[in-house]
Amino acid sequence: MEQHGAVDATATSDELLPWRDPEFIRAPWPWFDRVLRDHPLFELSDGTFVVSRYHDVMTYAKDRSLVSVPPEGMGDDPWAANENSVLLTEGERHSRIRRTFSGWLTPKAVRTWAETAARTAKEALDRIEDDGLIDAHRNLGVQPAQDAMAHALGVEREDGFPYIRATNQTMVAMGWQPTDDEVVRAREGFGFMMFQAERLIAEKRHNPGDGMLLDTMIRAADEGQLTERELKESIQILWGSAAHNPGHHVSSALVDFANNPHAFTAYKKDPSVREAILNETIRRALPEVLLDRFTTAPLEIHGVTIPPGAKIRFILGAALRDPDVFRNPDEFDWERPKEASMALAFGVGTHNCAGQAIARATATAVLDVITERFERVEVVGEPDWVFSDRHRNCEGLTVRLS
Amino acid sequence: MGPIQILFGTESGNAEMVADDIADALEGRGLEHEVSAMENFEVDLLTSADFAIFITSTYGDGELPMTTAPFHDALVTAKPDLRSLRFAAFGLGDRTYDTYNNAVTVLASTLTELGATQVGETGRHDASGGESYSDTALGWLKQLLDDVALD
Repeated sequence: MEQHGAVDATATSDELLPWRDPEFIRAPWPWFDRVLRDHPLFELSDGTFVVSRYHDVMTYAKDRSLVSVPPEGMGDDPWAANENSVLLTEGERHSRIRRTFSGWLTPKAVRTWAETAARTAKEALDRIEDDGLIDAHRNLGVQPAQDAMAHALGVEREDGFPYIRATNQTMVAMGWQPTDDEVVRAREGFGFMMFQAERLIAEKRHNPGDGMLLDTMIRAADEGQLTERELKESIQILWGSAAHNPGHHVSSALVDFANNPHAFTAYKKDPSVREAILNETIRRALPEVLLDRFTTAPLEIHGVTIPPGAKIRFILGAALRDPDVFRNPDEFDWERPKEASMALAFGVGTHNCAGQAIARATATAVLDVITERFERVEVVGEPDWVFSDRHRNCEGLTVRLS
Repeated sequence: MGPIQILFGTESGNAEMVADDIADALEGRGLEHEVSAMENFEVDLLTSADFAIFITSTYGDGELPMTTAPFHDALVTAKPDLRSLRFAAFGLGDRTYDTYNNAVTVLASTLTELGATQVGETGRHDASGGESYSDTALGWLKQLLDDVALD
């Protein structure tokens, strides 16, 4: 290990973050706190380097020499399904694909789609009966975001929930050494979403001309700016994952509001603190706990030279509770210093989330609608969380609004 | 003096939001202005403008973003005579990159080479700093308006 300098790579280092331990998967925070304190950079026995501190993640995950596909390629990994998308391409190809839709997801453009999200949320609130109960994940988290994307794409509204299940199936296979069963389910998830993407593209080709995003992207494909495969994967991601993280975020925010009624009240009464409260809910919701990148050139971190072809695992879930930046990280505190940015939650570098603006705008629209009508929220029963070592999401949350 | 031209070039749309914030602030001061996306603006029109504010992000390895690049290419190709133009410049970038705010530097340099006169300091927003781009831009604009007579 001499080429790496002062970093331990021992069997014991594999135990610092026990990826497959059910307790770690449920609540990895104590393990994260330990590596933040004692092992800010370490190497696993398989040669993966693990980086956890906020400033290190902010600095090194942006390095332009890092790529998202391993040097040996994706092989038969289920995620090879997205090899021709913004998720797994680099450089000019990445820019070319991203630019076919990015103009539709700007902070200004998403205001219109967020109005649709607000309408869907209002309709859901109108259906609440005297008991105040609502399936909040489905009706306030998922469906407003799905409908917002339907508006942008120019497609019919559909139930967004099947896409949540499908995306969760794919996410589990991104975990550490997925089982054969998890891999099969990931393929099913991709298969379902690809089928739906093909259907939407075919329907739009049959009835073109509305000038909305899908129509525009099909035209780009017809003019040779996108391959058919790039088009299909882009639509699978835009449509299939439209509500996945937004649904989780809104659900998580409602749980935060239930546990911190003063935050609900502050959000309701003081528009000037809404963005800060939203940022804190995003920090705590963190749907993707880590991201993996691969070096294409030597990269020095803390005096350790990481060789080309190595995997670096950036632990966003640890970075966003780094006590040097986020004092009392378990507390819901929206008055953190502005330098304590939650921007990491949307990823960093080339592959930062292209849907950040629409996710923020739809969540804001939905929370505005809820707080406008109600005084408090309480969680009814147990939320249905779906966790892996890699991701955290929701498949069910019932709340009472009053 | 003619309307202040506010021109933005962007990749993800943040420079457009800054342009709108600056337009609102100029409106509040009763200063006539027009906002345009760089990709929709004919560079020859700059020869008859008195004052322009250029806003651009930086993309990738210090590159010009999607809608700044064709505008800059047009400037370089057409070489309009900008000796009667005064301008101010604001960039959006990320200080953790070596190429922090490179695009606004490139654009301002080209405008200067074409004869335009830059006034005030180039404003720079640092995405890694935590301050919103609106706050940074409006602070920069206030300083600019304090220092320079635009009406």
